Amino acid sequence: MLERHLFPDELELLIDGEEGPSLAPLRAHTDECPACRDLLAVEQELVELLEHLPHTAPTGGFPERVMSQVQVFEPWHVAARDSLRKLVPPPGPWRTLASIGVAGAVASVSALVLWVALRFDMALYVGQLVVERAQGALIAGVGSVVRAALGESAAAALQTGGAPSALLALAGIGSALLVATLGLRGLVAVARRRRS
Amino acid sequence: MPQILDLANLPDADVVALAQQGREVAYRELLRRYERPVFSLVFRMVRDRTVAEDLAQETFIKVLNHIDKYRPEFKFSSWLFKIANNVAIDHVRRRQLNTISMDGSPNASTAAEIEASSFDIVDQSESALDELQSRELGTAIERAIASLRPEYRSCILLRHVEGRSYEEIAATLDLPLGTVKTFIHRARHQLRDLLQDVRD
Repeated sequence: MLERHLFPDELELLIDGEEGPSLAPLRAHTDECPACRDLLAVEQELVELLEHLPHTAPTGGFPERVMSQVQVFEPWHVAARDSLRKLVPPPGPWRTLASIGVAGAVASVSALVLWVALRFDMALYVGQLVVERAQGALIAGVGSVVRAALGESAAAALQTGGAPSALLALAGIGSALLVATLGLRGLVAVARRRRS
Repeated sequence: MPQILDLANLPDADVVALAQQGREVAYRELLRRYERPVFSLVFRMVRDRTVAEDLAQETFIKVLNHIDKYRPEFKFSSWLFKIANNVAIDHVRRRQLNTISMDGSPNASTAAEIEASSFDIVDQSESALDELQSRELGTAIERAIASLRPEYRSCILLRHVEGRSYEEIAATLDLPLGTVKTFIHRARHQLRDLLQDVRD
């Protein structure tokens, strides 16, 4: 048995209700020493009182007041998954039909991809064809815009220049629009300042 | 999607994970679980019901609006109590509420404010005498806690009212483990002295 009174740390272990063989001498000491036993009893009583203090509740409507100021954060992938889920019909014959349809579509697309992959030269040719058509459509579109905005001669220059001229013309039109927008915003800001 | 009844049985980490997926029911479940503990902690720190409501509300708004920033290696409750404690301590320091009357906040100027800032100790005793004694003791404990230094108050409330481990308190208050133990020991010592007369 210990021949001295318990240190505060040792008393804490007993108050906290720790278990273990190292605590046996401490417990034996409190059994024999009235001073340490009384101190432990007082501490334990205090802890018990603290542990029984009630929780205080906020006034009614607290959760609503909090939630009214909380922005519920929904990641894009969760929103996308939920949107997809809404498209899935409820269990039953419709879901079975939809599943068969989706499985059929997936199988068809896979077969098509496989077929295209096995005929790479043809895929290349079709790809080039698509790019050329898209380029032609772009130039024609920009040409019509340029024709309407700047006249026939500018459109002719664009046609002879090809894709680089089309891009250059687009950049020019974009810059002009940007400068016009900024100028208008500036004018509005000046007008607001004067009014205030 | 889990329903409200399922959420009640889920651990905090799972409910937080659902909240991070944008489930409003999970936000509400976290609020339901912690509105009383957080409010009690803040109320015992600032001793003013109106202010405590504002601070508890501020705590939850901060936590729930930044739920995506929560790192699961920490306990959610530790994170929540840390923010609640910081908010309360900041307020106490601003107002310099070092000595607080048990009979109401020192800032209370009207009868309604005094009532709002007084503790109402709920009692479940059997006899009127028991009730009176219990009420007196409860009031004395609240008064004694209110007279502690804010750091001691946080530690003793988290340890013995919220039942947190020393390690959790250290993580919550950003204090070394040894300091937490010392604060709790000193707080208990002071409480024991303050309650001596009531016990006798």
